[in-house]
Amino acid sequence: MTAPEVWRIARENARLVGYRCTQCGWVAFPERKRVCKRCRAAPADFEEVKLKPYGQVLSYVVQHRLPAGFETPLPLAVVELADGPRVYGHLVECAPEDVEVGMEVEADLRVMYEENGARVYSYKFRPRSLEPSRGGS
Amino acid sequence: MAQLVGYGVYIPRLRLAAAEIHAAWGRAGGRGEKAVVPPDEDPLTMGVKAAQAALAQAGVEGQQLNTVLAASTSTGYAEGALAAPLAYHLGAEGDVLVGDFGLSARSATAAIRAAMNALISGRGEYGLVVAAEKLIAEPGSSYELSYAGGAGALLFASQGQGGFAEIVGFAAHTSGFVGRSRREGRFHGLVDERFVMQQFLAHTQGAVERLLDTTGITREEVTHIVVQAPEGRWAARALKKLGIPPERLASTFPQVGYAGSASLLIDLAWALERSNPGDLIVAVSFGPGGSDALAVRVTKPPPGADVEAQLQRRERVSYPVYLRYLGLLGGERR
Repeated sequence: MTAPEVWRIARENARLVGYRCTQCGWVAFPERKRVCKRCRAAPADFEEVKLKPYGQVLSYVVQHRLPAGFETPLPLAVVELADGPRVYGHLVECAPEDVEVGMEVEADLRVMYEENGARVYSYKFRPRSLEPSRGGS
Repeated sequence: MAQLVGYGVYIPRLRLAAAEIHAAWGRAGGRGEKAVVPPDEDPLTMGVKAAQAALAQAGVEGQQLNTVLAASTSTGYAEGALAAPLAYHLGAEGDVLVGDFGLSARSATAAIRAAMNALISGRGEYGLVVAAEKLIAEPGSSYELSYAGGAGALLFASQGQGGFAEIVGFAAHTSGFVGRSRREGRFHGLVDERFVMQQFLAHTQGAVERLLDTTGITREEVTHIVVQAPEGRWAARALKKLGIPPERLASTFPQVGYAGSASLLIDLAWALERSNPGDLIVAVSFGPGGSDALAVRVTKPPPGADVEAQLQRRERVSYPVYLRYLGLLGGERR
């Protein structure tokens, strides 16, 4: 959490904070927008929302050829979080052949990369467990 | 003194069998396995997950935390906070006292004591202690068999907040003995392990006996005992020396290995998960500088957790993959 572009969305990223359009309910994440992409309200009135740390796989690909630093085959998915926003993320603790569209996944805090000697964190996704004590912030 | 309202652990699901390490080095045998931290996890990610489990169990929100203390000897940073980013991920910021404890595996109990002191001195209602480690041993060394990773968390509350257990005693046994040490960015230096074990026995015994003396607790009253031991057989020897039956030992060593400061909290959580009202748990730490012992009295049925479930949730990892995950195999992947 050192570089400006990392620090700027630190709160949204670390705590999964989104912004819901008060007119139509569309949720912006991670940036706070001025205009609503769905209802085009401009300027739109956004309210803060703490996103539930789980959702469903909308679509996925399995990457086989990636630069050094990635473990392949690597499943990457477009996840629709329960509150609406769609995010792109790695799937972990899941064999590529077990990934399915519609699969329930939960956010799992991981080290994403290292920059200037500092680790940068964000969420990957893993198959959702139904135990209440787990499952993100 | 201070109420315990929540506990949680995070044990990485990857496991490496001791027999596989032995086989790689042309040695026979080997019992048990250890938890392996994947390359995209570190003390922060594991600590956050253990803490979230403790908060969820107690129904406490991160914003309610007034004190967040973190113990680790393996963040990999000479400068770079652990407790503050951990608190931030949990939702706590602003007037939150944070403290980083390190340089000794004993620091888990130092953090517990400090959290208790913070509550006793009136610093808010909730104090969180997290210990998280990603220990890396030199390939081929004896430490490689046990050095592992994981995290544990304890959530304390001030009097009047309820809670299912209470810390009823705390004793320190400090000396200038260091034993195992490690330079920044290096592996542990070689020491006479037999000598370190003798010191381990003397320090753990010193702390536990002082705890029993000052609280009036008898050996028979101790239902579970947690001994933070870097080697598998050391805890049994400590119990023998203390005159406490071996079946009272609560240890995840055969499944997790040695996770430094985190081992104490993981084993304590495992003991809590299996305890009943009226039980008394003694936990003793050991690291450079000595030992601390604490006594926990269980007053109500502890809320359910997933310590046992996490011990069972495992995926085997091979020795070469383990080396690659910890960055111990050189070269670029092609």
